[in-house]
Amino acid sequence: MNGLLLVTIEQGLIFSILAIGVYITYKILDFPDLSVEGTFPLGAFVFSKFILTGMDPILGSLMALLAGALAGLITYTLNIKFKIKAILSGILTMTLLYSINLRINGRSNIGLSSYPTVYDKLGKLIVLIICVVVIKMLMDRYLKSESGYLLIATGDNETLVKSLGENVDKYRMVGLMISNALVALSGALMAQSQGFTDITMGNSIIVVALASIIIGDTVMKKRDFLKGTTRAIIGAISYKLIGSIAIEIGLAPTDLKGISAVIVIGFLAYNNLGDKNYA
Amino acid sequence: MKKSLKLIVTTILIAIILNGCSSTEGKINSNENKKFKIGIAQIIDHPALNSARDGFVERLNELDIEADINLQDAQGDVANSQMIAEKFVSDKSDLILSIATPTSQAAQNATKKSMTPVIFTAVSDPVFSGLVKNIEAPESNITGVTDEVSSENLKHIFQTLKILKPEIDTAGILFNTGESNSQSQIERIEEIAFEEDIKIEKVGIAAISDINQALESVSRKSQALILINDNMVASSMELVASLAKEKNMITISGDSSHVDSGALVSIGISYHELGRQAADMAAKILKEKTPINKIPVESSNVFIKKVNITTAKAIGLNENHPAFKDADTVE
Amino acid sequence: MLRISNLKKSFNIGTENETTIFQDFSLNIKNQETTAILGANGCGKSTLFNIISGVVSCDNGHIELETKDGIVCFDKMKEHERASYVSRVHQNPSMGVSPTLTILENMALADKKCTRFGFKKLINKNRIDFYKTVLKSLDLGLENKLQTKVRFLSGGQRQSLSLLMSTMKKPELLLLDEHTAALDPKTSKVVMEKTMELVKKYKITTIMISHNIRDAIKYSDKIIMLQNGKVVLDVKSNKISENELVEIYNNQNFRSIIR
Repeated sequence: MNGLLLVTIEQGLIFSILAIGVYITYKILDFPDLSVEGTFPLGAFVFSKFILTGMDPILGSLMALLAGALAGLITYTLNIKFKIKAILSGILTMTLLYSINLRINGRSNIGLSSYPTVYDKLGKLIVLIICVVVIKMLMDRYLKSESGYLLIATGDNETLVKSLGENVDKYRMVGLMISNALVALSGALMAQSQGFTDITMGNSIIVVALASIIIGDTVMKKRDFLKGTTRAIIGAISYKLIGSIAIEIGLAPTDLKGISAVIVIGFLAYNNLGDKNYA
Repeated sequence: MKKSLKLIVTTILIAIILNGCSSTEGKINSNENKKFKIGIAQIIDHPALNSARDGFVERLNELDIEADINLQDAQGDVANSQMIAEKFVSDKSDLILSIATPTSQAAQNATKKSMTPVIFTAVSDPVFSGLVKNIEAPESNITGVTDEVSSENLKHIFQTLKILKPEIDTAGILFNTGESNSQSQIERIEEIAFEEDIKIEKVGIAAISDINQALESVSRKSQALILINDNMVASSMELVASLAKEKNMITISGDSSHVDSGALVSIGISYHELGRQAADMAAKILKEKTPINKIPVESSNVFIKKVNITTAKAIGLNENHPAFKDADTVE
Repeated sequence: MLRISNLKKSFNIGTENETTIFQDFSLNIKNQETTAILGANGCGKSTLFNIISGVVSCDNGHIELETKDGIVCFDKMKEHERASYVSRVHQNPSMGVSPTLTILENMALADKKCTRFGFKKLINKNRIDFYKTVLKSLDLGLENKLQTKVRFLSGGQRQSLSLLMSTMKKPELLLLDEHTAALDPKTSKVVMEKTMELVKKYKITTIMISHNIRDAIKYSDKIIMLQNGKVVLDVKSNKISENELVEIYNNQNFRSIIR
């Protein structure tokens, strides 16, 4: 398979996990969590720390997952315990994580080429497909459970959740922790895929995640929470495809981002203008 | 109706990608007088990195090397670097010039199978970044030119400082906390500073908006500002230089492009020269087919002095000051 | 019996907007009775409901409810902890349901009210017939729309669903917060009748806030009117006529009237 196409799909799969994570906070919980810019590299840095000590890469990636959950806990604490607004809580966590990320290894860039990765035995594509499928299945199953429905209800109508006898804060915490855990995992997978960890990895990652979700929503109109995960996956892969097409047809480097934005706008406009529900 | 339309569009787009790849192969086979395919990858657009790139291209032309150059800029997006490197490999490039550390790491990763030769520039510490293990005889497909400021270079810098301001006791350094290269540079500077009996005051910034405050704080204790190879400082050099000018601080660097943006004086490498050095390496690889392990990693072997006359006048220094002897000048 | 004693509640304490809603308010609501609370806007009706259900805390005072578990003191209980005893139907039809979920999913959630929510699948196929039966009693055809997302329903349909959800597990205390005020006259009548059917059938202690004097007399056992955080009228509904009530309302002319 064409090398560029392969890398595009691999990155698309990694960003699918990111998109599913962000989907949980932004769409389900209705909590605009900006901390992902810090959580994504957090996963990479935590993974790097453990891989450098000789830990198995699968375990290292799981450590990244845990670290992400902790980051979600920080945002939760700021928002619920200290009553700081959602957007600000996310920004504060992201700012904290910037320093934390640098301190984890004492450096802002770590070369990982000579270390083992989770892809070594089966190759990137297969491992990533397995990861994405497993995560999707777990998330879908969770969202069909009693607890999962309460998560959805929390983002929908807090009063209802309270009237059912449940503590709204508990579900915010669960949502934030799961979301950030997935984001951190995708950061660790990315570091292993590109061969290094760098502090700039998280820059504008929220744009990637949201664009993926938007594209996914556009492509599959049925608003079913089950398919929410599927939409996030399709959106992430599509987003990366768009970017690589721009590179492939040799657009001026300065236009790369602009062209991606134009194509995303195209998708949205095509979708919205055809919507018969509104004038 | 809409669904099938989207499906068709997607299929066409994928077809374009696949097609784009195969048509490139076609080109190589039909070309008798073979042009080399060179991919140049930059992490972001800024003066020093651009100089290196220009120097590379200039020297290639001088050496009569015919090349199809594909220039790509990741625009600061690390994920893009990976895609760009991948594209160069699938385009069957003969050589990749990677400018800056993340770009070079991405190139290293992408060329693991193809072993396409990679020449890096503007990387301060290739060993630390995992690019090469053996500097004298690079063990894999990667070699290059580092932009580290050597001890020799640093000594020159401190001596020039003393000539310009004999009473100097403290020099400040502004650096981006997020750049790993900056840490190792600062350590080296501190070593030499110790030998030269000058104290160092470091001030870290996390974003360009921190620069004003950082300079305020530095100007209180230091009489001079040493400018290091730091991408964030470099991309805001004009601001840094003008703020330092206001505070009557001497700005000295190891990089001449800083002087173009307003720093007072530079003694050291020129990224343009670095690019030219890289082109010489490229020639060895492409024309003479020299194996990589016979091309050791180099650091800059050309020191140049440059002075910004406008800045000199603004802080009350005469352009004929002995410290500026033999220097290139710029207004 | 719901015992409210010595309630004190002020808003914006310490600022220039400080308002005291309740100074020393006490009220007893008899078990299995329906009590209507009337009063002009700002007299404290909604605040009273908010205090009882736990949405806002009171500065001072006690609230106790006689339940099948004995006497429960609400003072230290949070809103979601009180939910096992108190159900509330809000004026806004969307506040009692989850709009992005389907009718079936909403019913399933209500079915699990105040039980442990774990990882089992929420929707139990065996319960679907039960949900259909309950929905059928509304006569709105909702039992055929189980897969419809609630946000596509009309206000009246949503409110009916809210009502069902609030009463699926019989609450010890039901608060009706002007719950038909946002509905058109026909739907309002249907929902009101449905509500009182359930209330009578299961003998639920109910407090009803309403501006509709006719409904108040027709459906309640007792009528209470508040003014400035005080009870100024406390009569059995069969001992006062609609005209009298309208006059009292309009004149705002009270001496404490207790019949």
